[in-house]
Amino acid sequence: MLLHATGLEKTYATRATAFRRASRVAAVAGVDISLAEGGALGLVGESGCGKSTLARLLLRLIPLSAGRILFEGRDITALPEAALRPLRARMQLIHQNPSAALDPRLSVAEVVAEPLRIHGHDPRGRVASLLAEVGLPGDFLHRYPHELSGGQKQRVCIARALALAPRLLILDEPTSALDVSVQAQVLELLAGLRAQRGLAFLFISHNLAVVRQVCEQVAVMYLGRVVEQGPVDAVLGNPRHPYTQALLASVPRLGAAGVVVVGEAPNPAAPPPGCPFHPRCATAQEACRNGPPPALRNGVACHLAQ
Amino acid sequence: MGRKFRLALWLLSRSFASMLGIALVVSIVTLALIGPWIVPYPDHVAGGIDLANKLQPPSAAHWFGTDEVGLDILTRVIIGARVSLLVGVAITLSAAAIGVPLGILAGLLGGPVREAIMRLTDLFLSVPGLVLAIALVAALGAGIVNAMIALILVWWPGYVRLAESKALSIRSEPYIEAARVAGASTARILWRHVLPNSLSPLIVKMSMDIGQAILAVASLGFLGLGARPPTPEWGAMISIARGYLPEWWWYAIFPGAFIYAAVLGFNLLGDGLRDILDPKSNRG
Amino acid sequence: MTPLLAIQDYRLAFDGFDGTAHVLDGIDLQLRAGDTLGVVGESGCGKSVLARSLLRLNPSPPARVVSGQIRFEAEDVLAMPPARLRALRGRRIAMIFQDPASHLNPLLSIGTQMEDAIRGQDSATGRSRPRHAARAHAAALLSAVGLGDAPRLLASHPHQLSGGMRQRVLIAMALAGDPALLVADEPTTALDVTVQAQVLALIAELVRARGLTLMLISHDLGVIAAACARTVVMYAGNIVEDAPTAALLARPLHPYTKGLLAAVPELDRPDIRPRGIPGGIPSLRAPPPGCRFHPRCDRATALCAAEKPALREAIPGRTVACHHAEA
Repeated sequence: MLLHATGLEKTYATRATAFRRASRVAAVAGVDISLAEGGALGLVGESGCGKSTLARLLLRLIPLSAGRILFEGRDITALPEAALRPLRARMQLIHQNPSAALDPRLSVAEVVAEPLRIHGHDPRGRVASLLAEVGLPGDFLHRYPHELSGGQKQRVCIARALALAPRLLILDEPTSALDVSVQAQVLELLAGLRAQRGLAFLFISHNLAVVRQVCEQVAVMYLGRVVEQGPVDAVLGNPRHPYTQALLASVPRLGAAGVVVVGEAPNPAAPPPGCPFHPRCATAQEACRNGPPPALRNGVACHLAQ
Repeated sequence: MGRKFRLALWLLSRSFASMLGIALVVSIVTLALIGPWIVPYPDHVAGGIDLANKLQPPSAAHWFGTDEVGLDILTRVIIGARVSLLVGVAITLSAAAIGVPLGILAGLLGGPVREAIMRLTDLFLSVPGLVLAIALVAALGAGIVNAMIALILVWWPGYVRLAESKALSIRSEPYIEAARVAGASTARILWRHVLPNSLSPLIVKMSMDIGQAILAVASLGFLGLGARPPTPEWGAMISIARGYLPEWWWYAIFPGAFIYAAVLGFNLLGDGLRDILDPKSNRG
Repeated sequence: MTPLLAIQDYRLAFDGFDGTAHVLDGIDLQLRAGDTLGVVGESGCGKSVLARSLLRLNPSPPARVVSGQIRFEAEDVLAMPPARLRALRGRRIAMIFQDPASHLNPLLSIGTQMEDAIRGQDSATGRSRPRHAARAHAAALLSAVGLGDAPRLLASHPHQLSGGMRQRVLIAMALAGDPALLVADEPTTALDVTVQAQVLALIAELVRARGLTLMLISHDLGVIAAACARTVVMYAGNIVEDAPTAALLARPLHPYTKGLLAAVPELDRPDIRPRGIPGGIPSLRAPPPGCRFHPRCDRATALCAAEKPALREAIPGRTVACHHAEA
């Protein structure tokens, strides 16, 4: 396993103010993630479900509340930042908004050379070939981010992430800030890079269709938990959890309106008792309302689906 | 680079106020630079007495008139630009040199470091600047150097505030996270990403502060706590000229007008720079 | 019958340092009462600018009307004096936006903001209504957009509401003036997909129940397909295709529309790989001559680079701006 994480938790403590008592918000509440060398796992869910927090936990960009992370078989859970730095070369992140992910004051060449310099490599010659690999011609070297289109900026970000020859790419909504015609180009590029370099993807997206294109495995998150997990065709083609079913039904199809599911995701600071989805679930029963939240078994966390 | 420069000119030229600011600042800087070579009475710079010509109204020989000991006011006002500008720039640069690193450290590191720095800053900011400066000069003794030290001491906290808030907002930018993911150390992130991206508002503030510092030095001079006569300092000149109002109006009017022009110029320049340095206006 | 809205050869430019951007390049569009029109296109195609033009909301400068006419209920919008324009905004044409959070004042309660909207509409029509009547009307509007428990909701502040609820509140406020035309600019883009489905269903229901005319701007063909009977496709400041939605999806005529449809990944058809359109959106400061799409088009000929194709009727009820679109 390239990446193997168990029991990941992230709770934020909100501070007490004159008007509000202190509370604890569980952004990620007990998630296991496994990703094989060269594999592609999609992470889907609506805003606030904890998928971006999970990505940052795995990269050790924010401190864990509980859990254990093995990367390339090595326990990185408690590694200090300095010991983590050399490892960062092999696990990279692509942001949602490429405009914000590029320092506005650095040229394309400087952006792509930056990680090479940090790790003590000579960037000369490498930068142009990295740009060529992401489909940008050499005359982009001396341009600045504000002179590029969204798709071009995302290509620069991908080149920067590839500079250190990573094994794992965590992509946090990499195409949701892009136009569809450009999204398809970037997805093609990513698929090609993955095949050539044998990269593993953790692909975070709210767009189920994109995940189905890119990934072999998928995990569906709701309120900090994985509620369903498995091969994409099984989960998205034949969903078992009522939430996954709701999510799939809501997607507007060309030619057919989406099906309407009631309610909205609850505030993570005040999650409902029992199964977190029960207030919106059409099939909820007594056990769903009062029992403990269902655990993930056989790829689905639902009292009724098991 | 050529495009950037032309864009800057274009943005400035759209605003009359910015153009006026530039014109005023350029004139005062030019006067300060070439002053000693163009003043009509170079020997009046260091002082002296020419009682035969005292308190002459403006004339062809003395465009701005003469003072109570017969010195040419035009000469002394021009040399005064040198003093004021030098002192204003020195105060601003020193205050920024102290405040900016502290502010960026506070914003980037957070936690107890930030608490310590920010509370110390609050302590200084809770006392009116000029009052604190007057107290400091009173303790250190009057004189232009001590006035500068006092003003630097009351000036730096403003830079901590600004740099801290800027660093705080930059810290949460995705490109800082991208640098961390690339394995960059805190020092590298600070030097390569946070500092260059915090500069714009700091430069704007510095431009405006030079004007304010000139005004503060003049105020201290006026109160007799800054430059002492015969140093040709605008505030000190007005301080004496006050006794000769309203009859000998030119004595107070011309140094006053120069203070006014200098402060106005740097303020307007600061506003203009804000427009230029705002990355949003770069889209043109 | 005169159309509710008629836009004729409307050209809008934005003046800037790098030159003039020709953002809308001769828009011709008519809307009859009761139409549901979707406007689809990618960023920079001018769809939001067009929507804002209906209410003259594009700040000028930099915006500059180069030519053309916008007539709403036979009245020239571009020549309206400020007082008429205020009466038009909200009362005859209402607008909702992408980001509901930034269109509500965080300091004021929902009730206060809705009463202000209602009373603002009243003063534009010369009516006056006491505060409690305005509040009762606000409660009725909230229930019309599917929000119950009005007293509690009216007393709450925007930050206490979810994104979907905020968008419903804004829709309720948009209904305050009983408008004829509702312009919705990416109304569901900031929302989650389950909430998006709810808001789209609400908009469709309001259109049906109140006889509203709808102009829905979106980058997402799926969203438009869910709410609009007719669709226009925009590219780089031009309308390139105008057709009934079902026909457009079944058989796109313009090469850009075809490319757009081929680029959308379909959830139920993972076997079809989406294809991107090569190249990128052209600069509107120096747009390509002739057809603005020709540099990215695989069917472009010398004619496309030389002459801008006009919107022409290719099939009865469908227009397309392409030299090579066969009927």
